[in-house]
Amino acid sequence: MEQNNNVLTIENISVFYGHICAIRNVSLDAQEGEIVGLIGANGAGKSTVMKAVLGIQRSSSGSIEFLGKDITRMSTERIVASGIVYVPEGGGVLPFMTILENLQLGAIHFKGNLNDRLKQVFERFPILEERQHQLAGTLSGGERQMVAVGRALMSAPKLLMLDEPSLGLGPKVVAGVFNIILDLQKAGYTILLSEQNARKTLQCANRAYVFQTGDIMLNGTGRELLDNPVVQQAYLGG
Amino acid sequence: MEVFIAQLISGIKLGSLYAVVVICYNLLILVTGILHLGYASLLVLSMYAAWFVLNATNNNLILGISAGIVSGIVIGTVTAPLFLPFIKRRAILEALVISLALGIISGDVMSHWFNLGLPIAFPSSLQMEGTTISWGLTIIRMGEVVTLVASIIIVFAFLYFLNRTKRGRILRAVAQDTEVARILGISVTKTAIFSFALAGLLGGLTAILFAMSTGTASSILGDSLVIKALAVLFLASIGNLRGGLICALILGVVESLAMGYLPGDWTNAIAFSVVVVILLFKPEGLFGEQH
Amino acid sequence: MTQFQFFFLEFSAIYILLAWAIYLPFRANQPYFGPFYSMCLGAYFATYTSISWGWPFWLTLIGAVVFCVLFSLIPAFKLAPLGGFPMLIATMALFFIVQTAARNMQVLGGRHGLFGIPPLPPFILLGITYGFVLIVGFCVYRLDNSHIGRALDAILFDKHVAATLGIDIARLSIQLQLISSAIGALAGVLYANTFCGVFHEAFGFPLILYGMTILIFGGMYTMWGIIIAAPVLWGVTQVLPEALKAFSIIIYGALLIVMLLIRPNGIIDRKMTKAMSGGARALLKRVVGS
Repeated sequence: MEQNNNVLTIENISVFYGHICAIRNVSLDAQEGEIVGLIGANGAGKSTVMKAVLGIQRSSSGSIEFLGKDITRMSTERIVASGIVYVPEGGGVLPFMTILENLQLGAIHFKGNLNDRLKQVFERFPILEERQHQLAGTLSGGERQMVAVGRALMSAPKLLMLDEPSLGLGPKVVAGVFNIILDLQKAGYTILLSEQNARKTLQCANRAYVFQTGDIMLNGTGRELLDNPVVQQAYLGG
Repeated sequence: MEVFIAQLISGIKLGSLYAVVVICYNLLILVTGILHLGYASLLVLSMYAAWFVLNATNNNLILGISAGIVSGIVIGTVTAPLFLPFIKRRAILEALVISLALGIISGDVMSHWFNLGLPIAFPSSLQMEGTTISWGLTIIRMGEVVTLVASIIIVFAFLYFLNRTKRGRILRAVAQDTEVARILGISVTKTAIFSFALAGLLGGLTAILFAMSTGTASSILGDSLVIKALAVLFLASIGNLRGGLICALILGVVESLAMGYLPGDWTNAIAFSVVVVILLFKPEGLFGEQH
Repeated sequence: MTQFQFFFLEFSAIYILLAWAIYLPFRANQPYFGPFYSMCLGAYFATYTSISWGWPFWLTLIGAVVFCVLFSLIPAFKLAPLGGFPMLIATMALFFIVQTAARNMQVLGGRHGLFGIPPLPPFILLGITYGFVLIVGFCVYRLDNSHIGRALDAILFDKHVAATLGIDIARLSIQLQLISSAIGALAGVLYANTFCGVFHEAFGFPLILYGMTILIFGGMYTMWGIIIAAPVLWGVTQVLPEALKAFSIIIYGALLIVMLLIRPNGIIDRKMTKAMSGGARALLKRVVGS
């Protein structure tokens, strides 16, 4: 009997901004504990997929299933409450609130003990505990990403969607970010990772999908795509 | 000297009432982006509701006060859906017009349907006429003291709510960035309705306090309250809570002291003139950054 | 002609003028309430000069317009680059000040108003009024369809983009404010002559409500809807049975709110005028021959 370990199953969704097609007939899935990478150029549709999962953009066709439930038409509020967390480009941290308050906002729908989660996040990111009363707007880009990820972890999500976490960060910080992502996988999180940094993503990811102007061109395991000449030519610098 | 102190206290009391009203305006502006021009009129409408119940129940204070508070919440919640489509579209002009229309409608209701359009009066039991504090040559009514204390409590309670509770955090998140709030799983629509209901609740409470301290209400009170709130809002710059508090207190004190020398209508005109001058020369207000 | 018909025709025209006065700045997303206080100022000016100084009608008209334009000139420079909230609140506050002054200044009649303008024969007044409606309407039409009109569209669409296109928003705004106030003053003078006097209560918040309702009902972004909306909305309140007349403000308010919710662009919106003008052009071609 086939074990369906799928946390997320997206089948044939298309999203239009007015008349413009952002993604067309996209299907992908993510299994428990996997890192699934979405790579492609800017505007290829990677963010749109995540926004469609979260319900911020509506797909005009197809279906999205999460842990066996159809979430295609669900409100964003309920989708987040059922365990999907999205970290947007740049982190989406609220600059006029403290780090602590930002973290607390990550647990709006969380039913368990808030302080326990807070302790766990602080263990993972001790700097955040040190500076918890500092306004988030005064942090550097890398620190803000840390807050964003910490906030995402506060609700113990079943699916973590990270949109360009390494964007605009220096190489050392980028390496740190990817280490955190691998750590999270070890801790058992399922991660959907959208990135323009193709090489690092393919090195981390179990499987990945290659996006080009709204369609999925290729997919396969991280290793397969790293070795793929087309991918190497287009995204890995030959 | 005692007279002056008494007038000062009266001014602070008036100012703290204005402060609560201004807080509600700011609340709505911050969370929904709408300047609710008619809010103060609706607040006075709550006073009328309380008066109505008081009349009907032979001055039963508990029922009357409850009626004022409940009517505030109801009015707030019921008028919220009218604004929702405009919050989504960020159509501020249309939302302003709607709030203006609501204010004018309620003003009309008050000037035609209740008490044949005459100002209404609240029973002296509400104002606690009986209990007074004597100090030197002046007498301070208990009602005024209660009003002052109550409004200070309301202000602090609201600030506590905003800064230290989960709901308050949600409100602030929506006020700062609706996109991020949505991503966090916050329903912006529900939050907007909640803020209207909250403003209604605070309005109802303030309505009772106004009834307690001034003892009368009329549709003109609604109009003048609107302009005074706007004066404070613009003086302190829209959205600036702390600035609003300070300016409200200043307005209350100045008005209280000036009332001895000028007829009421002119104090209104002075308040409006202040608004105009401030707007012309410093549109961001005294405390604020550009919005 | 009965008095009812006279008032109906006269007021429809006056409200059309008032609504056009609001329409112009609103078109560029400038919530300018100048026409309202200009109407009040104009009416009082005309009444006072007519009664106390014996000025003939034409002189009071010109004087009122000049007076209101000068009055509006002072805030105009400051308000021009601002738009939005500050303009709305400032002009509303000015409206309040004017109303308070009218209500309290004994020389202006205080709470009782000022009456005694020598009445003009009804047909002449109607003729003058509708003459102005035609003139102002023509000017608004020309303005709408000129490069200024397109500039206003641009400002409405996006203030910053418009600025990059070289549109001098501040100067345009000042001109709009002055024109708007002038038309408002005109409406005020005609109003005063209809009643042979003024009464401060006529220029209260309900006036703003009437004006805004007509504008929004007729269509915020075209001038034509106002021509239909003004007489219709005015007529409706007049023919209501006595029992409902007290509700008229509430009805107006409710209409305004409902309109904004369902059809914010008014009964006649841009699409319709384009379609209609296309049809009219085609018809004209047929009639005149290619």
